Amino acid sequence: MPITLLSLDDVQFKVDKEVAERSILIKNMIEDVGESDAPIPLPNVSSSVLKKVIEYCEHHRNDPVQTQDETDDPRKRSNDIEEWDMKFMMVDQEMLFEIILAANYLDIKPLLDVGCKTVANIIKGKTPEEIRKVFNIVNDFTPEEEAQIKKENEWAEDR
Amino acid sequence: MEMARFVDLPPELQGMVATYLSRRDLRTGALVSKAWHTFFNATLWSTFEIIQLPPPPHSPCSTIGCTDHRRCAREHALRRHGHMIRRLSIVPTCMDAQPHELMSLLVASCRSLTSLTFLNSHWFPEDSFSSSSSSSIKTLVQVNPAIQTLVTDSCECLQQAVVTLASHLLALKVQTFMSIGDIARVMASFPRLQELSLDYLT
Repeated sequence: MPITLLSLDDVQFKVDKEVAERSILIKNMIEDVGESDAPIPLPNVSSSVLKKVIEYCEHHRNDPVQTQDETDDPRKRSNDIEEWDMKFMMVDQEMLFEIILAANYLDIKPLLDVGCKTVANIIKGKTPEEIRKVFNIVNDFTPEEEAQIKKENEWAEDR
Repeated sequence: MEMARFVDLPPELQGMVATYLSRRDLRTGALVSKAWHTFFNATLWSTFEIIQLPPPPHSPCSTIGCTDHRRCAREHALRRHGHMIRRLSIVPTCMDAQPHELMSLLVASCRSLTSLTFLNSHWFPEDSFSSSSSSSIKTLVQVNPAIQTLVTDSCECLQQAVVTLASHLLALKVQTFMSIGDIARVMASFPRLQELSLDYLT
């Protein structure tokens, strides 16, 4: 039976149950309420973002449930994003952060992971100036403050 | 609607992004803007590893009378940010000119440690421990009662842990010779221990 999802801006999306249930939030809601024709309201997600999220869930509808791989290593790899996901994440930054927020709210762990990895990959290996450019950030440090932070944190680097 | 930005992500999501970044990237992030600095600086300083003690001075410091730029920067940095360090590893592989000084700086600044690794303790000269009634590593453990994970090869460190951390140490890894009697005593001292690992036995 298809499930109807209702976005923040009142747009309805009909999706298969197994697609909707990629979201643990929705899965739990369906379990709590039981099968029903009533649309599920998602007041935190706009239709443009929900459309993207559903696209992701459709593509990954048959993925096995992700097992928790909580390793002791606090530094994780971000270079293992599969090709489809990488293309899927080629969106403007606003959409990228909106997808991350929606994945967090809807509790779709694999999408959240891919989103965070994508942001990390944008930051990786860049200079502060390059990061400012990419994220459209204004440098609000004085040169003195910048020098001070550089000096302080020099000691906290990899050794 | 305001455009969503990195700094608008909730802290736990920023933290997830940070787990994929190297310390060098975290350092760079701290220099981007004031808003970025808040998060990246805290993340950078929450873990701190001293694998190799800093090499001898190579450039003069701008501070008048200072002859050791690196040491001066280190002191300043630790005084300002030491309170944020939660995971500290001290594993020297060569001699610092003054390990004493480093240890007393850590003792003076670290108060929020939850995880402490103190290995290669033989690199710290004996007299630094025996000269005073309480050695610096003992004091470090004493002033950080929230330590839950301890890895050490120092008997001094372990002794102090028995005194201060007894009620809540969860994981202990000992890399020094211990008799069966010692092991029994250690196990009896830490009732909440969930993980015990012993690298050498006698």
